[in-house]
Amino acid sequence: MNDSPTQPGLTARGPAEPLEGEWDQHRQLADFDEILRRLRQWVDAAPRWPAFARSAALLERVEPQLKQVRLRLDSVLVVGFVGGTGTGKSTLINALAGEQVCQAGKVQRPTTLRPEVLCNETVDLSVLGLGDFPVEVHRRKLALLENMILVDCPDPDTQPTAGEATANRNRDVLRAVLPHCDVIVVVGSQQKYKTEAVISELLRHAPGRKLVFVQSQATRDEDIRSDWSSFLAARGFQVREIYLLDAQEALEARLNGRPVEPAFAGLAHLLQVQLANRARHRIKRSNAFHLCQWTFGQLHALLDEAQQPLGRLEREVSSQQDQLREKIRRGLHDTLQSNRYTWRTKLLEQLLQKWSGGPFAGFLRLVNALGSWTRWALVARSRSATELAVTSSLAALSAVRDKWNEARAARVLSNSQHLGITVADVAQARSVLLAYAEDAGLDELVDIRSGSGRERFCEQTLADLAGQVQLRVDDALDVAARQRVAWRAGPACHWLFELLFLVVPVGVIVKLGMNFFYENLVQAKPLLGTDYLVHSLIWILVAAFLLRGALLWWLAAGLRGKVMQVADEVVRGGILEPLADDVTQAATRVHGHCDALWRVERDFQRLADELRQVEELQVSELEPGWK
Amino acid sequence: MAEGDYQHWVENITLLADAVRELEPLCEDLQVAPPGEQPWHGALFQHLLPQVAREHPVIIVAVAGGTNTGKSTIFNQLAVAEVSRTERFATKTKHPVCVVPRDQFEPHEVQQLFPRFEVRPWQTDEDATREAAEDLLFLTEDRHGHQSARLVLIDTPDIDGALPENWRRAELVRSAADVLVCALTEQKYNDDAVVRFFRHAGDADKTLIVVFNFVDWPDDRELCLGWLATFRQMTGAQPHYVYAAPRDREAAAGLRLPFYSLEPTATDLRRDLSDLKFTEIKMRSCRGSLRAILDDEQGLPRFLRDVGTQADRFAAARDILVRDVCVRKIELPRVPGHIIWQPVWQWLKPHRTTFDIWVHGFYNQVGKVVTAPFRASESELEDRFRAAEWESYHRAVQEMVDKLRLLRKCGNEIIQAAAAQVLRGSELEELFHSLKRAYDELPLVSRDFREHVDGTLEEFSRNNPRALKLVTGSLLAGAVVRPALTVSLACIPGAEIVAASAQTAATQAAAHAATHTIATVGIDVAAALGTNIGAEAAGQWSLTELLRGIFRDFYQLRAERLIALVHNEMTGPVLDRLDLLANVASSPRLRAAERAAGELRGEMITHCPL
Repeated sequence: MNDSPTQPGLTARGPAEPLEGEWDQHRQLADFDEILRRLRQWVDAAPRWPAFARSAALLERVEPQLKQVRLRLDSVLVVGFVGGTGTGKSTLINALAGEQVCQAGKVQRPTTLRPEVLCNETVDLSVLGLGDFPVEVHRRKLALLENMILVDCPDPDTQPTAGEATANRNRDVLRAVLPHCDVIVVVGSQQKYKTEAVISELLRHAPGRKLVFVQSQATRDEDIRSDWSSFLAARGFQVREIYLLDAQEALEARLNGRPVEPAFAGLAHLLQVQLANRARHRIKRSNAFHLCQWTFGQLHALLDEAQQPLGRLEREVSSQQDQLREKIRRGLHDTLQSNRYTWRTKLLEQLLQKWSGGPFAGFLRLVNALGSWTRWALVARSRSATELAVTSSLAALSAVRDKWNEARAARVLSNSQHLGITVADVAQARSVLLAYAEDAGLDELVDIRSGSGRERFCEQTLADLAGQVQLRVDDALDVAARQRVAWRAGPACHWLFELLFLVVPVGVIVKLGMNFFYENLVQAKPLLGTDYLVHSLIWILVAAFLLRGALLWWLAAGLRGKVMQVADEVVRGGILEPLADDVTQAATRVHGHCDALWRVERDFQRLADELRQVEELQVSELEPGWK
Repeated sequence: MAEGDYQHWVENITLLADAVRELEPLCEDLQVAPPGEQPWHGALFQHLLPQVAREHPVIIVAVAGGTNTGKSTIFNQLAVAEVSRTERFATKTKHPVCVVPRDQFEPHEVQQLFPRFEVRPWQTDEDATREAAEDLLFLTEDRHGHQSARLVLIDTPDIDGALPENWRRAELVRSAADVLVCALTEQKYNDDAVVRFFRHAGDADKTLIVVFNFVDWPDDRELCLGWLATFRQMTGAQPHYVYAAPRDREAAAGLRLPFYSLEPTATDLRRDLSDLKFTEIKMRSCRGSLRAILDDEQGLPRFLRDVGTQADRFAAARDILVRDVCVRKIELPRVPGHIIWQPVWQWLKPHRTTFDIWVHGFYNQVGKVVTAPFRASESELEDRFRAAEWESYHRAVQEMVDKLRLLRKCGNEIIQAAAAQVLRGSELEELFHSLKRAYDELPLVSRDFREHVDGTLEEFSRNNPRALKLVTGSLLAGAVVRPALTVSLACIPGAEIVAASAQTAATQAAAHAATHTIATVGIDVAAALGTNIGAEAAGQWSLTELLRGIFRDFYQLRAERLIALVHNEMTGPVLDRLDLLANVASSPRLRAAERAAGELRGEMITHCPL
């Protein structure tokens, strides 16, 4: 038990400590205060989530104690004696004091009705913080009481007999007194070491206090320490040693000036010398840190449990988004499949942009502008009025239909019905997500619209989604068409098709030329008439249309697969974010706030590790991770 | 007490027990405190029921007290044998040990006396300390033959240690016992747990025998009397006999621990036990149990009242849900005509001639083919209708979910729990999916609707035979006119157009179709006018009214179907559960139990059982 010079100050009345030790101590306390301040800040800045509210309640409970550390650092050590009725607490105190101070005995149970405080003549009891709570104070001038106050607490397992003021029920009194104790001496006997009432009170008050266990009726009872020890360990206590002594005999020995038994002497030494004189400050500091650690442990358990529904929510968000994505993808596939006009139009547009000059290109432009020629050809062919009427009406009808198809194709993607999902799908996805969000406690952070508000939100989301998808598909198709045209309809292709186009007209012109210049002038054969011209014109047209068909086929071959890829890519992008934006944001806020707490805890751990000094003391305590 | 009266009394007790057994599983759902922990429950099921059926009544003497107060020591003295191990560690005795007189009891009789325990034969004194989750009871016989033939001795686990199972077992034994030997010490005569335990015993009129253990005899004799006074005051019980036993380990081991009497009436514990007045004690304890059971504030009647009150609250919650939350109205979109016309034409078919069915069928087909590009097909229309209907349906369901969400925040706990059951995240998704599945399986034209249409049309035709004749007549007329029109169109002046160009076959067909459509429309209009006039001539019901009625009925039936679907898939289970719990109040067993309790109370005032 040697104190090295760098240890912080250990005795109130010892020689002046080296300056570094004092500085260390102050710094540690300052850091501790900082941690507390950050905890308080964290609680105040918490978003409205049920688990944070519970954390705030927990902090409310422990904060007063944590703050008292600095105030009470220099004051005397407060030792409380707790145990079942009749275990010998009062006798033990009397034995320690060496005289009959507290009332003890078996005449009536419970004997101790109010807290009895044994202290020095000069000590200021306001430091105990009991206010105007009714206590019996015994002041004695004893060496024992130089740095220590002994408090005899009421029993947690009995009520005062009827007749006493029932307002001060024993357990309430105990709960008012124990928070002010730094060390608790737990007194048990063979009959009363496993009582539920005592152990539950102990668990309640153990965080932040040092414990000493005593079995106090050694002469009459058998040794039950091994069973007591394992029982306590099972409940989460770290037990160093249990003192086995007889308080009655010790008291008699002291009253008669005889030497006391070694076990009792050991306990007295522990309390008086080791704890009160030497390690007062350390104990108090250690108590505060212990309580803080326990608090962090509780908060961990609380928040970890509450964060599990959040994890489920996040998984559900991606699951719902995937479902909708799948539906949209299928819908896009169907739409694009059944609307070839869209891509054909785009292909032709791109092609015409690229092939700016040349007779074939000009022909293509003409065809584009005028629509289907055959019908007009038919019109031109009709002989009688009826036929004319019928064919022209048919031609008009089919031209109208073409135009209508084109317009429909253009409209197709902006109409959200063809998107593959409906308002109902969006509303359902949202409903399910909100249910999960409510389960996770986020209903205060998320605006859960209902009724027409919800309708509007869903319709708005769907419209936005449809708009986005249309834009993206348009862009993607443009890019695909451009790529395709660039790849397949390059200059070489252009020249090829122009040449092919010119084959028939050139042939006709040559034939005409030959006919005119050679056969007519030289061989005097008849000129080919307009019939020939018209026929050849028709053949040219037929050839041109075939060529056009071939070109389109060449361009469009395999385009379908590409288009499906386009649809897949569009869907894979982040288009479904608005659906669950508010929910994911709320979840992120909560996670972020939790992480802030763990940062504070890490800093606290660093500080606590500096302070691992209390192992040397023979005292027990509650493991900090225990509930 | 007369034999018949006794039988009737036993019947009433059995009725009460049956009612409690029926209600017990529902207690958690009903949010009523489970009766298993109440003293009256023990009095009924552990004490009265097991013992009233016996021909020869027995007295059960139980030794009870806090941990390490020396119960097992006292028990061994009474049994004059080391049957229960005495340990220095606390809460070691975990299972009761029972000693019965020699050759008087079969094991199954003992099992009947202690129904909640599993009776096992006793083998060593360590049996009682065995760690086991089940409630065991170890049975052994009195080996010396001193035990009175109607006396059953039983040891108990502690009542204040850190093992709650021990308390539970001790309470079960206390309920079953008629006489309690209270093991008290100077530390444990006034503890909360001890006082509470023996107060319940006193309230049930059990005979108490107090033994102060580990006493410094004779120095503490006066103190014992003081403790006794406190004990009396705190428990409100009057112990029959009082003894003190010293702290003497050798005497205890040799089974000759002395029990010093503290009152003039008491002499020696063992002798006093054999001299107990059985009948008087039995009557007292049964009457005490009965009083505990029938207590208005703490007993069975209170339990029945609580159950009734809660059941009423559940009924109110169910009414609120049905009235305010459940879907009542769905706005259906306009249904495509062909869906409704189809059953009508179906019904009409037997009344038409084959000829006109053929002709009209042929022309309808041609018309369909020709106008196909300009008209959406039937299946497309149906799909559109279904999509629109699903939208509207889903909206109505969402409104219901909104209302449930509101109730979950603001309703009372019952409604909150019911709403939460539907609204839990995983549940909601599942419910939507099953609703969609059920909806998809729903046919557009259900059998109910077809039957309804048939019925309406039958009735109409019965009341208005002339209208029917008019309709079939005009159809027949149309069937004759149409082919005639075709032929004439083919034969009059457009013939040379027809003959002229073979290439224009398509145009010919188109021309025919065009003129035919116009003509058919004209005929249909004429037919409709005709039927209208005819119907007005027929008087009562016009056809248009009839058809309108049929359309209306379709909407109604369909809406009812959809609402039923929501109920089945989403709210059904919740409402069914509420119904179940609400109907508990009117269950016949409950009524019978209330009546039986009333009768028993009346009898108790007039005369005692047994």
